[in-house]
Amino acid sequence: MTNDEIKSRIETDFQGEVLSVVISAQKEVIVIAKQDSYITLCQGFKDRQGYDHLSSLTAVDYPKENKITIVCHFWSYKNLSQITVKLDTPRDNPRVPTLENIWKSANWFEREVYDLYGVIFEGHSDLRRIMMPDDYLKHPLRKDFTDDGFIVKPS
Amino acid sequence: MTDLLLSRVKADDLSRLGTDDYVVNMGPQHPATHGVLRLVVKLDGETVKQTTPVLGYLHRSIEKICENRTYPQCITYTDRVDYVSAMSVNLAFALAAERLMGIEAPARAQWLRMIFVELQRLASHLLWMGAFGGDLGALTPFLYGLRERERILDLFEMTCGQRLTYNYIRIGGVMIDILPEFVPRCRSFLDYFEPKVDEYEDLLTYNPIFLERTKGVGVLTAEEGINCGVSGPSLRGSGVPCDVRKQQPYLFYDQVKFNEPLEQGGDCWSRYKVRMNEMRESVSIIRQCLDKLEPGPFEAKMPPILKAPPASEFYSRIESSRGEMGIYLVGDGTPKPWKAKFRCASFNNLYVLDALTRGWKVADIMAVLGSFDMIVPEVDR
Repeated sequence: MTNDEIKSRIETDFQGEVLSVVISAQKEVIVIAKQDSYITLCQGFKDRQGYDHLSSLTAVDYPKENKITIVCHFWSYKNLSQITVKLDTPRDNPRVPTLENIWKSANWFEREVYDLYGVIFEGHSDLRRIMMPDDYLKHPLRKDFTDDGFIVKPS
Repeated sequence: MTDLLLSRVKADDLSRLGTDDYVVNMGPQHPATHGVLRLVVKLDGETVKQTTPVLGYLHRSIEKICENRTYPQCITYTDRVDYVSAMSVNLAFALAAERLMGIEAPARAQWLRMIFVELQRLASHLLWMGAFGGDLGALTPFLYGLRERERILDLFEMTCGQRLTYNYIRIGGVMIDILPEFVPRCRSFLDYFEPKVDEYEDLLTYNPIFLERTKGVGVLTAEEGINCGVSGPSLRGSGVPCDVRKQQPYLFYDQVKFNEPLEQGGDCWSRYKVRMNEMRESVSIIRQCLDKLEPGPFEAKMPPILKAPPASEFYSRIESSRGEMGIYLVGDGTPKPWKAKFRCASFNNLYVLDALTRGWKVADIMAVLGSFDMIVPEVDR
C-alpha cells in the first residue's frame, strides 16, 4: 500500500477521531491523536486496519511548547505497512491512558516512558520504574534534567 | 504428646496445611543470564509460579548520551548497545540518520554493509549456539562455535582493526574499503564454514538429552508472540513470517535470494532450529553479495558538519541478529539528535519470559532464557 492509500483509508475509517493525518518529509504516515479517543483509535487500528504489532512506544520532550509527545509505531504483519501515532500531553501534568489492554508489549514500553519521562499511564497494572533505582527521584530523559539528581538522599 | 497429636493428623489434613512460596534470586551475577540480569523467581517446590525480571543493572543511559553527541559520535555508542552484534546497531543508526539528512550511500558501501552485517549474524548466532548448549549442559558446542567465530572476527579485524566494537558502518557509507585479499579469504571461510553447520547440528539437534530439555518446553503461540512484541528468530520459531529484510527491505536485500526459515512448534527447539537454518541462509546471502560487489566509492560525499533538518523524524527498522532493531531519531536542525530511541529486540523478548516459564521447573528457565538469545546491555541500554 502506498502512503496516500493508507492516509485516505485512515481519514475515511476514523473520521472525527483523529486531529490530522500527515505524510512526513521522510515518507512516513503520522497520525495525530486526540486524548479522549486515543484508546478507541488504537483499538481500531489493531482490529479494523490490521496493525497487530506495536513496534515501539516512546516519548519526546518539548519544553518550549510545554508538552511531551507520546510516539507509537505500529507495524502490520497482514498488509506490511507502518504508521506512527502521536499524542500530546501537558508537560507539568502528563497523563495518558494505557495501551496495555490492547498490546501486552506496551506494559514495559510504558514503564520505561514513566521512568525516564515521568508520564503517568492511567490504568496501567504495574507502573514502576524499570531502568533507574526504585528510590530515584528524577526523570532523566527530560530536557531540564541535571545530574545532581544522581545523589540519592539517604532516607 | 506431640506424637499423639501427629498420629491423629490424617494425610489429607497435611495437604490442607499448605506451603509457602520460596523466592529465589537468580542473578544479578549468574552464569546463565548472559550479563547482569536479575530474575526474582517464585517457586512452589521446583515448580515456577512467577518470574519477575529486574532490569537496569546495565543501564548506561545511551539514549541520553546520544542527545548530547553529534550524529557521527553516536555511532560509537551504538556499538555498546549490543556488543555481540555491533554491526547491526551501527547499521540501524546509520540508516536512520541518512534518511533524516537525505544522504544516499553508494552501491559498494551498501553491498559491504550487507556482507558485514551477515557475517555479524553468523558470529552472533555461533556465540549464542555455544552459550545455549552450555546452559543445557553441553559444553562442546561452545568450543566449536568460538572456533569459527574467531575466523569471522579475524575478517573484521583485518578490515576495521576491531574485534568487538567496530564503529565500521558510518553515516554515508563505511569507514574504510576492504583489503584486496578480503574477498578470497571471505570466500574460503564460507566454503569452510558451510559444512560446519551440519556438524553443529550433529552435536545438538537430535541429541536425546537436548531434545528432552527443549522439545515442547516454553511454547510461545503466534498470537501471544505478536501481542507481546516478540520478533526475529524467536517469533519465526512460532511460525510467523516477520523478517524485516523481506517485509520492509533495506540496503539491497530485495536483490538477493534467500529463504525465511520458519518452524511451527513455538518451543525452545523450534527457536534453536530457526537460528541454525538462518546461518545457512546468511552464508548464501554473503556469497551473492561478494558476487555483486563492484569497484566504486565506499562513502558518499557529505557536508563537513552533518545536520538533520528541523522537526524531522524517522523510524528505521532492521533485522538484527536478535530480531527487530528499531531506531527512532528526531532532528532539530542542529548537529545533535533531539531524541534517539533504541527499540531493541531483547527488551521485548524478555517480557514473555514470565508467561513462558510458569508451571515449568526451575531448570527450564535456563532453556527458555537461552532460546531467546538475550543480550542484557541491549535490554538495559
